[in-house]
Amino acid sequence: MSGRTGLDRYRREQRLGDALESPYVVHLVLFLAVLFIVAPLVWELLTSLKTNDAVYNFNYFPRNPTLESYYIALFERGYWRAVVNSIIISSASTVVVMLLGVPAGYAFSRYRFPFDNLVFVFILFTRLFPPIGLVVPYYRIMTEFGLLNTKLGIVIANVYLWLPLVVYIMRNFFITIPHDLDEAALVDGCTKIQAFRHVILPVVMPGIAAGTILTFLYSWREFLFAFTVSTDLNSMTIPVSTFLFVGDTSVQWASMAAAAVVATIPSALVVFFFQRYIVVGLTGGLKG
Amino acid sequence: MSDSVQGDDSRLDERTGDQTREVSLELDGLTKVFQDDEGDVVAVDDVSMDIYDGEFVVLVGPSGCGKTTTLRMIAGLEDPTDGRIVLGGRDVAGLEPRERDVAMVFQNYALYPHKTVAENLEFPLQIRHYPSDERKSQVESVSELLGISDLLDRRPGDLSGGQQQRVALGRAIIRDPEVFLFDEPLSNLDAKLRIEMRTELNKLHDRVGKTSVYVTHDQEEAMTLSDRVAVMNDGELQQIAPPQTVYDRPANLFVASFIGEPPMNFFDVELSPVQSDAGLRIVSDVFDLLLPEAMARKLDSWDGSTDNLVFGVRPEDVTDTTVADETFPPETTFDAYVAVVEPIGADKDLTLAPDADAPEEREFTVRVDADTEAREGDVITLAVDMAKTHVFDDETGTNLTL
Amino acid sequence: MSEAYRRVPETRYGRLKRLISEFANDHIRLVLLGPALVSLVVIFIYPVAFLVWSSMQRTLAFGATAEFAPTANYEAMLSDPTFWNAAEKTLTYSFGSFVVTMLSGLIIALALNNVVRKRLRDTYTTLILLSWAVPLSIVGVTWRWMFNGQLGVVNKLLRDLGLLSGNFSWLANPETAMAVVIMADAWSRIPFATIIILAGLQSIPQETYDAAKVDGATTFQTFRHVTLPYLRPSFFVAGLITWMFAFRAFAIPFSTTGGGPAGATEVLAIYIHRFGIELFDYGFASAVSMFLVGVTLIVAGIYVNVILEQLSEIEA
Repeated sequence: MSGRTGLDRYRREQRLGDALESPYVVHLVLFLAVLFIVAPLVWELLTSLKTNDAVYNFNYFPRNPTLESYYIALFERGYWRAVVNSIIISSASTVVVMLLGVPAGYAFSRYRFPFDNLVFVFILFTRLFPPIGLVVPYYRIMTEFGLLNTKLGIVIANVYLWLPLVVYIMRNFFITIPHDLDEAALVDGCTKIQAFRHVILPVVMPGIAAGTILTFLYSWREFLFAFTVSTDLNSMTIPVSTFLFVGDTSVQWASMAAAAVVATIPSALVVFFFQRYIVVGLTGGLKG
Repeated sequence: MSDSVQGDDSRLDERTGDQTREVSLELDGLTKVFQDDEGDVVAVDDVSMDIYDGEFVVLVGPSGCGKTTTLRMIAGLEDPTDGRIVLGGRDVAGLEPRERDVAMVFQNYALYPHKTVAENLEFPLQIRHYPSDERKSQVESVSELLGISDLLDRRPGDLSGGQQQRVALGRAIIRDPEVFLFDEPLSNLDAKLRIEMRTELNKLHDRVGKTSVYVTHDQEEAMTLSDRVAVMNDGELQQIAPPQTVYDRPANLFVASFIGEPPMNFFDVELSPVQSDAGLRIVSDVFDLLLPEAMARKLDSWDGSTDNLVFGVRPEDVTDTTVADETFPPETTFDAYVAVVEPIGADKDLTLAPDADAPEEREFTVRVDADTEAREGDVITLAVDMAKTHVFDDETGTNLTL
Repeated sequence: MSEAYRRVPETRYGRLKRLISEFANDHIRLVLLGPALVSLVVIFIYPVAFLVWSSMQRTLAFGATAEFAPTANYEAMLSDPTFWNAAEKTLTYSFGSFVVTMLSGLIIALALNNVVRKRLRDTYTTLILLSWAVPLSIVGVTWRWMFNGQLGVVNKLLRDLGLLSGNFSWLANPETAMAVVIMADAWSRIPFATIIILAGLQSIPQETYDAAKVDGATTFQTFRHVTLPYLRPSFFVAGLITWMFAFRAFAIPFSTTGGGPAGATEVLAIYIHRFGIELFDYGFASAVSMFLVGVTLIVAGIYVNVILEQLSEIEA
């Protein structure tokens, strides 16, 4: 009887489905996912606590945990300066991008002007334009203007990379704020700038936080332009200097791991403390 | 509606009586045209009115009738395409909202969510650099007036709808502006609270006595709050008059149908002269009624075509003859079939039809005393209070019997 | 009436301040947008123009001089087998990463969406976000280190599990090298895809699930008839972005393998970098860049259309 077997199949499916949705399966999947994500980082950390010679001993865990590799990376090679460079470059890039991008996002969310839609599509396209395509022009223009091997050069590249994204994200945040608020402020006696500063900016603070954190992380992560513009200790970033280890004839794996850990710690801290803002920022950049 | 409805200014602009009051806000030929993808949309079309000092005027009409756009133009949030706005004796064309001396209460209250109630209230003063002691005393007196003194340290997110409403009112009052603007401020409250706040607004207006322009789509709110009601439709001002006048003497078909609940019934009718004297009978397939002399005279002097006349009767101007004490002359009565009976407490609403088989679009409503014995399926005799009826020209909409 | 102004304290700079504030108020669009747009013209439009121009210049004497030859570089590019090799590697790389990322992202997002306790869900999210935040070159060198033929932990694990004797040179073998860079790329992209898909899942109204449950739908039927239709837009957007960004990837393959062995993982981005920055053949590198830009813009066009549709829905 087909009705009977249909019902049996339905019951089987139901049991299997319930099993898949059971907490055990869910947490097993997530455990494996977390393992996959975290294991490489843990391995870097373990390596960084060995000496460059101990790496050849094939142990999972360091026998005598030491910070020697960190000393070599940061002081013998002087990469502490790359850390400082990274902090300066990422912070400066973030400040410039936010100063330019937040008002622009607000303008797109509130005002009509000639070709406004076209300009907005231009911003979207700028965001999607492959940066690799501009590496050669940037390299040559920077050479021309003496910006090669300077922090300023990397900051300029970061502004190009992240400004369109921030304009877009901020516009989406501003759109969620009812126009009534601006208008109430205008009627209450504000100029348009005052309405923006005293009323809208404080309300959009979570969005500003998300934009700031995202820009900082993206700038910190960036490799292509940082590498193209500078491999000089005066201005190169920590991701670049970590990469330079692999160019050596005999790679100091433990010290490289130490530099990698140093480069990852700020990212990890930001993720730990501001996870929610990052999620909001990432989704805010895609949804209306 | 056509232009002829607007043409006769004397009829539209019935004043509140006190002619000595000064004009606080004058709209003159106010027009707003929005550019849309499909072309121009006229949102507000040549609206003119004078609003007197201390007067409470309610702009009412269906959504999209231009009432909110009119209000926003007064506030300076929208630039008029044409026309003048004179506020407190000065033409405010091109002035920013902050330069206009207006205060506004928004539909969603538009309280600043990051500021406390006290900070919300004092914001209009703060932005104008009032000294802080003056701000503080103003906040105190306004919050006392509105009964929100306990809430000063809270944030808008922690307040109920009614409390938020009060704070929004306070933020408007604190500045002592030339005119208050209200954009459907009660529409987000539940029914009970809405009626409470309505009463409170009335009291508040009596106390503060400021010129107010209030926008709503709710005709009951319009009637209860206003000194004068301005009825708008399709961007045009239909009639501006005290609420009772708008109800008793609607200028045209639109106003007659919009004001009043349940709405006025309309019948296509023909006129027929009475042989014996100068009277006029009004005839349809449901009834044959005699118009009062005064109305008949007005229709006589009207020189338009009588082909398209519409007869309007409010549901509450009809009586069930069987339960009434008085007797009614036969030329004011007619028979109808009872389709539905709906008790609403003090009264009963009857849905009537010419006969049992009449299609739904020919049904009409009357509101009769709750004592009525009419039951569904009965045929009853009803009397019309003819002096309160109206005859309209269907083409122009004009009320011919005013 | 003009009380608004009476109250402003007149200081020495009061007049100037007022003038500035009046100007800003009257030219609000210019003040808000001007700086950003001018910046973008200088740091984006100008380099783009430079790119177009230099793609039409034949580079001579290692970049020292150049002559105008509008199609020379494009012709050289199209007839160069190494270019086609790089193009093919790019497709393998980007689709590989796309498939791994989107499948893992979907599964992880579905699992996360089934975690009831918010605290726990946030903890998982935080841990999963980690790989997204790691600097891109660090991703590369980490995977390079893990898959090192001689010292790598992967080989050691396989040996200890008895699956391997001796060493296996993952990054010296063309197929496995490609697999490793794809996994490294996906490792860094999965969090992003997960977040976007999870947001899509969370936007599905609970009542719809309740209705499906009352109707007796099994987990699979619910997924098929409720989850999938709702999820389609955000899955589409996440997939498009993932593919587009993998297509242009430079940092991860470059720092993992440097394009090796023998060009087996040399994607277009590395190819452009090699010719443009290392070999000073600006013209040729620019022409290849133009190709990559062209492909991206076609896909970006689809994306922008989708975004604009979403936006017009919101504004309507």
